[in-house]
Amino acid sequence: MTAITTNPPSRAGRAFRRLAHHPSLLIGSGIVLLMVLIAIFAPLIAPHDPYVQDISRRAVPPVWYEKGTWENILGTDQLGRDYLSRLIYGTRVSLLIGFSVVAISGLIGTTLGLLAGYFGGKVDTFVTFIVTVRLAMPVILVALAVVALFGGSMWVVITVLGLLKWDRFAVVVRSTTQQIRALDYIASARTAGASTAWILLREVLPNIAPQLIVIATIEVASAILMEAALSFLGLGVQPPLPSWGLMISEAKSYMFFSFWLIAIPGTALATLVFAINLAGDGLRDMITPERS
Amino acid sequence: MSYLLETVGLTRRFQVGQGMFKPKATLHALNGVDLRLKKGQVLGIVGESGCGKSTLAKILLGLLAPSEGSVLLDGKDIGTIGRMDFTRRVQPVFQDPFSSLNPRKTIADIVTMPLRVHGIGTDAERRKRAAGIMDMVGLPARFAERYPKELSGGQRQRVAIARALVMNPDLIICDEPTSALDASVQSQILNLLMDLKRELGLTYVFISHNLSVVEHLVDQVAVMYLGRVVELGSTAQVFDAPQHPYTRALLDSALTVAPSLGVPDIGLGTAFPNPLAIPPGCPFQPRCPRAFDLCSRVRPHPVDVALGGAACHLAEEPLRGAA
Repeated sequence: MTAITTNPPSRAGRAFRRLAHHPSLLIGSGIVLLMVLIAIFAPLIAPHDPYVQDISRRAVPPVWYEKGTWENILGTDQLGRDYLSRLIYGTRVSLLIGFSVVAISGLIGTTLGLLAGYFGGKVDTFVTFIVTVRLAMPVILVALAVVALFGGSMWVVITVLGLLKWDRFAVVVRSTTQQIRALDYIASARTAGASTAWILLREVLPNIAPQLIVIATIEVASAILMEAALSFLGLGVQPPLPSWGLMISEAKSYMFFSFWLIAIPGTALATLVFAINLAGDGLRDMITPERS
Repeated sequence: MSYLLETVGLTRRFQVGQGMFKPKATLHALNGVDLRLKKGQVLGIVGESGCGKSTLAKILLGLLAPSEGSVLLDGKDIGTIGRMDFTRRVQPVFQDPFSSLNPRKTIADIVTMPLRVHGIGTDAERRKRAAGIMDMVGLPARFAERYPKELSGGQRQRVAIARALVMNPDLIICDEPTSALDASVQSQILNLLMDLKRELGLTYVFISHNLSVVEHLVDQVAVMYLGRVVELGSTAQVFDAPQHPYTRALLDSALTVAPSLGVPDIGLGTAFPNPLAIPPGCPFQPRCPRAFDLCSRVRPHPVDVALGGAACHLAEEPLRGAA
């Protein structure tokens, strides 16, 4: 006789089962997780030191070309540095910048959006005004000015992007909070004596989590691309630190002779951004109870 | 005589914008409302949309401050009672159980929320208390880990009632607690509310536009029109011998069971009162089928909260004539 279990599945069990139904989340988060592991264990994985130059082995093509060797699987750059090792170390820069920028901008934007949406009135007018001011500032030009003042480095890039890219968080969180504020479960929390901080953090925030995740993934991807753009312009991460954007920038004059120097970091960048967006879409679907 | 709940001259005004270039207008949502409610009694508040019922509910719950007047709980102004003490004693049951439960919390989380806000008990004690309350309101224990979307409207309203009861309050403000529910479920919820009142010795303020519901549950009825109480009395007085023409019209407007009779004509016309432009004299006079010349000039005396009665010249005329 077969026993039929009627117990409702546990929360973790249900979450896992829903995960299995979302191939986009599995693939996306799988790639992101892999990249995170590569970034953490870069010194163990990288076959060579990414900073060591070997003038005698400049612009060696990857292994699948006729002149390629297994010594440098993805070839070497114009200074003879191992390209695979630089790519692996570059993962660190991209991920660190992507997630740090969103940690800063998400905190700023969510706080402003929650306050504007919940309190309305003068607070809302003020927040809307500074969002407008922020939108009037071109990110690249502000970054240019800041780099001119403080010099370029990874931390300058993170700070500048983090302090500039909160507008989307603020706008979306504000409008969602306005809708939620009018619902009776907020009134119920107030009549139970809950403080404003309690209501915002425990009643409102969980209900805007799906929107936050979507914006966060868009913003991580956008910050990674923006870092690449800034580094390409020479305003971001400074050599010899390996960043994917910088690798593309350094290779631009060799583009017509050594195509792979641009194609390889470009592919890595596109894959990471694609995977983050894929994971974000899947995650949103999974944690929105109405859709499951 | 002490009252659990008393309102004295409760007035609430709102500033309403009428467009960019027009000056703001003042809306009197409540205009000198006096009510008294003894412990263990049920006070029904009836009236059409826009009469100030929901504003009154919000003020009684402390969600909105009155512009003038005061709400007394056991003789003490609720402004002087600490917020935590007040919320422990007065709890709401809202109209729409689809918006009153946070969709991302489990039923157990929703029911224990007030306890967590007040820091009462350990996690295990709170869950035990929630299980007890859920049993009392007729919710199976297996619902504890479910989310609101998995429950029907009636079950959700039971969850809302359980949350209101979890801190052992004295007074429950029911703001149209059944009007969002199916007719078949309404009576279940009403019976539950009445059983709970008997078992726990609760006091209710019961706001509704459904007169048949009010007639069966309520000890005292206050009829509201444009922010004022126009008639007050025991349920029997108001339902059997209504004095105010508006009360009469409300009672006549209740739909009968026989569908062939159609929607009753109550003689009020279709004009909806504008709360921004309350007429001089009696506010009900433009719609009143029995208005006479005095009504458009002199405002009737407000209802005496101790005696009850109606704010209507017709009701006070015999007394005037004798004097």
